[in-house]
Amino acid sequence: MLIKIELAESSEEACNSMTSVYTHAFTLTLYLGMIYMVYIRSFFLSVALVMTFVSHCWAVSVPSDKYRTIQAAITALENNSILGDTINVARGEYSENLVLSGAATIVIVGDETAATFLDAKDRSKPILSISNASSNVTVRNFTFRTGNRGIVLINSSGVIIASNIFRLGNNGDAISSDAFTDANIINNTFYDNNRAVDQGGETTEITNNIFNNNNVAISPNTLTEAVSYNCFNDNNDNGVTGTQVIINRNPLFVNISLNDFHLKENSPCIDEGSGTDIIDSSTADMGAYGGDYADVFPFKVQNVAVSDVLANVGTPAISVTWSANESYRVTHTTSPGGYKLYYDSDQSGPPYKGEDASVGTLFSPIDVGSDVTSYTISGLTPPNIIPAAPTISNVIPSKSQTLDVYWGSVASATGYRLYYGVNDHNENQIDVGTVTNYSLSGLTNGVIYNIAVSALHQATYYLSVTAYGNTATSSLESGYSDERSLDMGSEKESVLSAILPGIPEAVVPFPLLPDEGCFIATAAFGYYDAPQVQLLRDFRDHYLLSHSPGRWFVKQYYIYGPKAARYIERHPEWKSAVRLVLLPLIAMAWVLFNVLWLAQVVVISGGIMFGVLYLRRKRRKLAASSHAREIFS
Amino acid sequence: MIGFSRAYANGKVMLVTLLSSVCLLLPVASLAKDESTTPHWSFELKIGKFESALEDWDTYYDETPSLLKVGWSYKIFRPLEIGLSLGRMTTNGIGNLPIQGSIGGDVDFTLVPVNISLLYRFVFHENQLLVPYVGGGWTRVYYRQETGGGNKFEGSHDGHHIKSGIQILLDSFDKRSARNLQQKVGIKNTYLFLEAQSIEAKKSGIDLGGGSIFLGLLMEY
Repeated sequence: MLIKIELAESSEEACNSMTSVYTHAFTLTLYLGMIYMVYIRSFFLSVALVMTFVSHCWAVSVPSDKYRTIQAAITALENNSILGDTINVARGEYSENLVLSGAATIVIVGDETAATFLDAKDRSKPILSISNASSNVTVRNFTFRTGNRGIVLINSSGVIIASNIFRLGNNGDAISSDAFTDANIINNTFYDNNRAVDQGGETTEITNNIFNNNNVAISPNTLTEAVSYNCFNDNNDNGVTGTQVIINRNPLFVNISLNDFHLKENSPCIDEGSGTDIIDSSTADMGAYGGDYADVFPFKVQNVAVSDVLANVGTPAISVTWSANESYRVTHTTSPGGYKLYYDSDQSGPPYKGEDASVGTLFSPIDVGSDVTSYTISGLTPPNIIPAAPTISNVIPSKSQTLDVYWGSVASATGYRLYYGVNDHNENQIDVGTVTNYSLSGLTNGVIYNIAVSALHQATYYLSVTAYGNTATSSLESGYSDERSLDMGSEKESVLSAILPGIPEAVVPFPLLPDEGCFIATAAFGYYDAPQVQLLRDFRDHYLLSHSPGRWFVKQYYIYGPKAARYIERHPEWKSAVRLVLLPLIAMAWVLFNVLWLAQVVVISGGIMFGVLYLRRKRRKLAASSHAREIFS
Repeated sequence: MIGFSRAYANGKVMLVTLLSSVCLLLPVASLAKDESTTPHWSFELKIGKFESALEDWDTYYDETPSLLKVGWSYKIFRPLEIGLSLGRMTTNGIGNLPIQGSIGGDVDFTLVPVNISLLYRFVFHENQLLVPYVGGGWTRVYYRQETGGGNKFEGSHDGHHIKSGIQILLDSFDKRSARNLQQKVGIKNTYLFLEAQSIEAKKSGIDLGGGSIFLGLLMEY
């Protein structure tokens, strides 16, 4: 027992460094010392157990800090045998082109067949290539999904490919093998592939698989003796079917569109394989969820929905509905599985420790049994918490027209509300979420704002549903469904914090240096901070410096502008004329910065139309006067 | 820190550095080198700490921000060269809030000093281990300030600079690599150098200059 605990705790860490291994070995020695004292009374046996522990490590995990990709883990195991022989791949999607070349004794295992996806990063290469005298390689519990070739086997022996789903599409060949490879292809489901198994060798065994909706199931050059206990349905060409075969009978997958290839009750592939099922020791099913390597999880429960049914029930209650999981292990007629309902009002995500339902089964999870797809959790007592008032720690004018407000967090607050205004703090309210600081922008510089914060509490329930198989142990339970949440009762608000004043204002840099842009305008309008000059400066920054012709213009302006500015300074009589010339540009800049885009279009179009009409009128006048001159002459 | 700046301004550090350099130079043995290998150009890359001449600088910005510079020089004569260098100093700090009479907000401040210098190097032999130098020239310091609200202030100040330092010929320590560099890349001499520099760029009473200590690498080709 003690040994088991220690092994479970260490896993990858112990395997990843010798130091760690020795540390664990030391700890284990202490345990074994105790065992020796109490039970074994054999020093040599204790030493033997320690040596066994140190010499045999067990697994690395992907993804982890050390092994972000499966290939990284493969390479590490190939180069360092002390890391062990197993790669545990967590649920997720992996886009790689895995290569095992000359590898010996490596097991690559996915956490859950239906939720551990392998895709080809480069479609021209196989998702997994096993070659160059690799031996004793096992690949199991994956869904091979995207790629032109799934697994390619070349000159390798002792390869086991088990409990996988291959769904590569019309152009994808699931497993290809050469004549020098011996492999066991056991309990896989091949659905919608070009060629499911293209086997060139004579020593590959193909057993307990389901071939459905493929172009070619097993290529014709496979020896019949090596093919047995397989199910073929709806393939264009079954190829070699072998012995103990089920042909042209629908295997009854639960939900193909969701990649749920569990079998429904009455599937012809149940208990028709060779060997036994690891789940219940019955005769093996065919397909990815039967046999020795099947993962034991029902498919995740789908379409969970929740609603507040206080009005119907009379007490706070939540109605939960979901779609049935039609796997025969859940719906079994004589020995069904069922569903478990998890809830919590404190936090999102597992472990869902709700315990306030007062009707029926109280604590989460609630085992709602089989053959149901809805349940009402009633008699709930949503937390009725009024949070304490927060304290504003700082109000900082971080930049022009902006105040940054900081406050301390409040226990049990699920959000905060910010109040601010000039005459009264109640003029504006913003619910800012769970943050403890907020930038109030768009304020008026130089004006005193009164600011306060309150804490909010909203009782929220978080719910999830799982399905479990008919041999109801915790290890046969599906993963959590997608979580649903529901607000219950009214939101509670704390009293306000103390009201603090804040004055937004433009930050003036140190040292106070002039912006030497807009030379001519500065000279013409007399001072640097003139609003017209600022408008032109903004126009430069927003509309000229954003593209290369504009930047070229600005560059030229910076070269020649100062000379013109100096001339205007020396000849003030020109200032009015320059202001007049700049006026249309300033007006346009004002429109661009202060008027909505539609109005901008209207104003600019109006200006252009006015210009065109003016020119046409002038042309007509000229034409009329020349015509008159012709008549009088 | 203020005293340190003043020492720059008074040129005391320059003098001390120069005298030290000369003292170090005297006992150095020299080896003759073929005149045809005399380089005409040099490129330098140096990084150092900038200490502003502004008294209240520490209140608003990092006390001694880093200053990175690159420079090219042409050797008019072997000891005399004219050079151009370009630097960049960026720091982030706070500004003033005049209405509230306090400091605050967010300010990015960038200085780009451009120097045109005349430099005299006390180099008497191509294989001289330690080479002191002094120089000075015209400076333009471009500035850019950007506040949190997006206001920008850009412009430049003209001024002058003086500098002094000492170069250590690295070729003496690894002759094989030095030979390879010369044969393959054309770099004739490589120096590690320590340099003190002072810039004064004042306009309207505001001096954007300051003192700097650099460590750099110089390659002659």
